[in-house]
Amino acid sequence: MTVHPSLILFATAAAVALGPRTLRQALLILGAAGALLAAATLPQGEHWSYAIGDLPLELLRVDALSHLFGLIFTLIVAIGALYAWHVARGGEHAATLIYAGGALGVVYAGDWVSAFVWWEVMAWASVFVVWAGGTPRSEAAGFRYLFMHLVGGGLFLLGLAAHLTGGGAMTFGPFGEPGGWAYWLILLAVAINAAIPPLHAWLVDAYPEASITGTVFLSAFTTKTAVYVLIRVFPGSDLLVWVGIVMALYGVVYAVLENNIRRLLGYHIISQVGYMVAAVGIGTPLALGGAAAHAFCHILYKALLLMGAGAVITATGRRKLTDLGGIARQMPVVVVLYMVGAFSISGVPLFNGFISKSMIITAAGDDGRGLAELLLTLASIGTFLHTGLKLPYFTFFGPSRGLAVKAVPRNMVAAMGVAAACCVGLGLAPGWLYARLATPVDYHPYTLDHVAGSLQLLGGTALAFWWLLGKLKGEATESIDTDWLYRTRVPRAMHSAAAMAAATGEAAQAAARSATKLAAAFARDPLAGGRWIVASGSKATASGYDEDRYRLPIGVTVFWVVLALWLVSAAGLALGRGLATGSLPHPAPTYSWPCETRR
Amino acid sequence: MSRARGTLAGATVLAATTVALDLLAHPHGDTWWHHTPGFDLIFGFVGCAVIVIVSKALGKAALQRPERSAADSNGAADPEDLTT
Repeated sequence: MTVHPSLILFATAAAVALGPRTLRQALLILGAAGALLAAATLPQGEHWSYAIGDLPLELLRVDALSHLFGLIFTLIVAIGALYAWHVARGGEHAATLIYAGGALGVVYAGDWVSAFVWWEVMAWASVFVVWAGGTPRSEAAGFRYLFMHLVGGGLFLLGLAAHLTGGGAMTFGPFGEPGGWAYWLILLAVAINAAIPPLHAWLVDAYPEASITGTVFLSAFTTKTAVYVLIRVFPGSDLLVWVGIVMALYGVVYAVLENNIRRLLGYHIISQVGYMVAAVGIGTPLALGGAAAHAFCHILYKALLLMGAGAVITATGRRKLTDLGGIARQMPVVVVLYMVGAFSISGVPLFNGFISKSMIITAAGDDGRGLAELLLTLASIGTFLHTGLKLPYFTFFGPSRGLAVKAVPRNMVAAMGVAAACCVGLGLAPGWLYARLATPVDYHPYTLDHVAGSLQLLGGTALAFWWLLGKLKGEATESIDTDWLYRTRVPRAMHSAAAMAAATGEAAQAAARSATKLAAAFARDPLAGGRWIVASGSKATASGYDEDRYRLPIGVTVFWVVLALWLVSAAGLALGRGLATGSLPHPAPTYSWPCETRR
Repeated sequence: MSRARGTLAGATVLAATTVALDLLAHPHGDTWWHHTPGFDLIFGFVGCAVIVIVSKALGKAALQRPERSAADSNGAADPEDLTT
């Protein structure tokens, strides 16, 4: 029997939110494990088709791509549930599970309409995960997050309408050649979820403000669902190669400037997703396989890194590099597990990032894109610099700030251990992952030139880090990103526009009041203006309107009235006589009276 | 031998080893940098320095501003954020 994993997560969400508090943790773990089991046992080729009216819909479609993403999504739900075991708020767990269920729904959707509906479920549920941060800052960031994702959903819907009304296929699959409203609108919607600059700022705005456990889930689903859709719908779109390279480098530049550890890791989500976007653009089997494999590995190591950052915040209450340092001895296990994630994301041999990132860089080279290969390698240097060197050095090993370090809940450390084991396991046995890719690849990461090249790259980066250590320490600054536009400039422009409209209204009111006053004065004294001109400075002007001087005698008025009446009467008589004698034409009758009809 | 000098010596030995491995390896790509022993070592060093220096320069020129408050640490609303 096959069960859609999303349905298990939704049932678990209801049970966790509404069920007894004493069973909450057990239900959470059971539901997450059940979803993982359901995803792992879904047979490839399984379809759930149904119809609403004339719409042929497909709620479940299991192929190699959806199976792989379903597997990693449910695995990270299970690891995340363990990490969040100690969280008592059922509502937060429910929002997280519905969010994950929505993401899984997109992955398994076989038609466009189902994909859109799940896309929106994911967006709405994830806002509550951001709000679970429980601070005024997370509330505001959640509203901005919601705004961006509503715009994305609207674009998706418009594109979907354009696609279906244009005779496009209902099957959720590749568009083919670029072009048309549907293509660009849906690409734009996916670009928002993939955090492609300049549409990315919602990620680094909202993720660091969510709860410690919520950020781990957020890092896994929204951007990776977008990557899934890119692989599914836009493979080989050349534009994406350069978009991905810009993403990869953009995140690296901002990470140099960032002081908040979770925001720094957020910029590296953008950078890492950049590799996947570029790989989709390259579009060769190795590149597409690399995109899927890197998404799989990235979900694991990024969750591990954010779990490490969450452990630091839990233990110290601090989240800035300028406030942290010298705590490695107090939390050695967290340091070791964090470093597994750091080595993984940096592409150190024997860790999972090495076996997936190198696929993408190699695919770029094999496709004759030398510059792309070099720039992606450059971004890789930045990744090791920040997550492998700068962040751990200044957080764990740098100058001590005399921080009191609390114990981290054991379940958090255990979840980090599971994620770290997966990172190392995949690094040691990449064949397991390669065998599950949608596009079969003949790729061997552990060749001498790959390993030697990677070690040199990492060694050179470490040397430069050592040399530039003084420049890299945290600074008490904030970075201005594109959200600066809609957080400050757009509201400011709206306030200015509103003020301008209000001023225009007040000016119009004042003008109307003045005109009314003038009209009233004119009605009171019609000759005042002329008198002012003709008799300026005279006694009469100074004393006001004098009707004995300016009005005509009543007899004159009577004369003109009688004359006018006489003229009107004479004209009427002449007209009547002309009609009677036939010297004037009768008007033609335009209709008949009913009595005439009867005759 | 001081700790720093020891680290430097160790790093030099490791670097030399990896460059030697480059000479033994069969390069995968066709471009010149795949055939240049030690290229990745130099690229790693220079690339890292370029990333740091360029990013810091961009930060100083346009992208960074002083922290406005302790809001970031305690989750309080950002006082200058017009959308809060």
